[in-house]
Amino acid sequence: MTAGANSSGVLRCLDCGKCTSACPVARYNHALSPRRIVRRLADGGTGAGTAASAAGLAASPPAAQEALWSCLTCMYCDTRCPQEVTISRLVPRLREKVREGGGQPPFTRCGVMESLTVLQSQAELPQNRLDWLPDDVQTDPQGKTLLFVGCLPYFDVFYAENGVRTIEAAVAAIRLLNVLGIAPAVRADERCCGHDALWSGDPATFERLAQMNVKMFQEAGAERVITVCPECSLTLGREYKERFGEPAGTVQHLAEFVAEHAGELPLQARPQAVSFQDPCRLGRHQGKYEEPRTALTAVPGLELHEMDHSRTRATCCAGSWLSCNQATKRIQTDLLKEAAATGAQALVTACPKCMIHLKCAQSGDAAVPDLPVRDLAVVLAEALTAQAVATSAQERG
Amino acid sequence: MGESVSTGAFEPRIVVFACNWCSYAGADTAGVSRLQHSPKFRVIRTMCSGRVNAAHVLRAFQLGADGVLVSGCHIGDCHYIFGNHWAIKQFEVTKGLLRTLGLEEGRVRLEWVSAAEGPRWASLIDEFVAQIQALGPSPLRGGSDRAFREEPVGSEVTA
Repeated sequence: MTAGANSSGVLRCLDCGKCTSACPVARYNHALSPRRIVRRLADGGTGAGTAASAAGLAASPPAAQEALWSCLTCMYCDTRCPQEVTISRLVPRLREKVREGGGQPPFTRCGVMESLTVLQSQAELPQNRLDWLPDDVQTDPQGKTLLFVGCLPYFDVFYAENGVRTIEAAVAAIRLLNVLGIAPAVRADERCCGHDALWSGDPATFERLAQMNVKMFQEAGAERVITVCPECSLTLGREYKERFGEPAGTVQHLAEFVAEHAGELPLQARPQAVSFQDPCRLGRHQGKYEEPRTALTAVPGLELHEMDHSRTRATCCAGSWLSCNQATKRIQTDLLKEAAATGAQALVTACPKCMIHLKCAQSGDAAVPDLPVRDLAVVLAEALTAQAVATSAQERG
Repeated sequence: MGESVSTGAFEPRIVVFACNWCSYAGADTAGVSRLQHSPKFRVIRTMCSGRVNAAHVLRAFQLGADGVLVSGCHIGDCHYIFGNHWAIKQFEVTKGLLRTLGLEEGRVRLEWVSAAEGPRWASLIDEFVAQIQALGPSPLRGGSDRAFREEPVGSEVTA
């Protein structure tokens, strides 16, 4: 059956509409209705009918395709569906169909991020992706633990005007690992994990990137990969695993690793009230709700003020490089208002992209609460005792 | 042009973004003045150099360009008052991204050419073509099998 419609379970759909009533996008953008997408595919009934419907959707005019591009694949609908239809897995397949038929995604920012993804899949690419490494952290090219930095060096160049410094999360991650006695390998020949290519319906670019990264992992001899971005941990831990086995050993987001070692971190009191934004890729996609909270609350004096929309009900940051409009802005505004209303002084997230999209929403708009948006790794690294940081630098140096 | 294509030597592909009000007219001036200069570039006219952002330059490289020139009105002469100041800002971002990708800085250039500066346009193009010729093919050429086309610049014209 075309477009993976059957494996996504569309034929099980009861037409209850829970998906659309839960969808954060559908609340503000009526172009998107997850139910309509599923019904359209299911109404064909047979496999052939479903395939024809998928092809029909692919051939429909750009306005009708808007639904496909405005979906955040945040998985909120999937978690509400009583019939376990996996709409978030269906959408990328449909996008692929549309692109095969010549349809072009309405990339935001003129497609700069898509270009960077495709360009990173070049065979010969003399990247300068380690310029940000400070002198006082310890890395080891032979290290069995590899820190996968992802696209952060690119984000910070492009989103500098929004005050985005995602690379601080990578620096913080290395400091935390150093204190735990680990000098991670950080590779200059790392490529984008391919997450966005895969989810926006460009599997060819994803395959190229994945193969390059797998080769890189093998050369590095990595036994464990830690990522700063949950999209990377989802992609390396699930998509790469499905295709290539376990080329990188265990894959963990930093929050998971830190949660396991929270007791060993020499942390000093940093009294602060923060709220936590569950990134969709870490929470609903990977089921990691407790890990970031365990890591965060390891900081003495830190009070966690939960939003109503947290864990499985967390609001997505509404960011993708496929849609940026009034609907996404309203979702982001709601999210920041809810976080501010908890009495938190900062909103902590564990995803660099959440940070980018939320900071972008705050840029130049007084109506959006200017609550500081911070990365989990940075909050933790700040709380490390000065003595522990100095000792770890000395030991390794 | 047909002859040079058939030699198989490196033919630089150069994309030039020229603003409607100054640089495009400057190129026109060079043409009507019959100033000899290299034909190895493709001009894309934009309303303002401020319209050209990192995405456009990256896309050019993605599609197989070896060099990209962005050209606008001199500072103070912008038809939209501050468009070229915006162009400078965006060009810095472009350079930063290309540096991270590992591309040589000499493959991109931001220049101001007025409508009267035909000779300057001609010499600038010659200089940039020579610069790209010396750098050789872009390492970013041909990564996208979807977009990359093998035929050399100008082949559709020759045909």
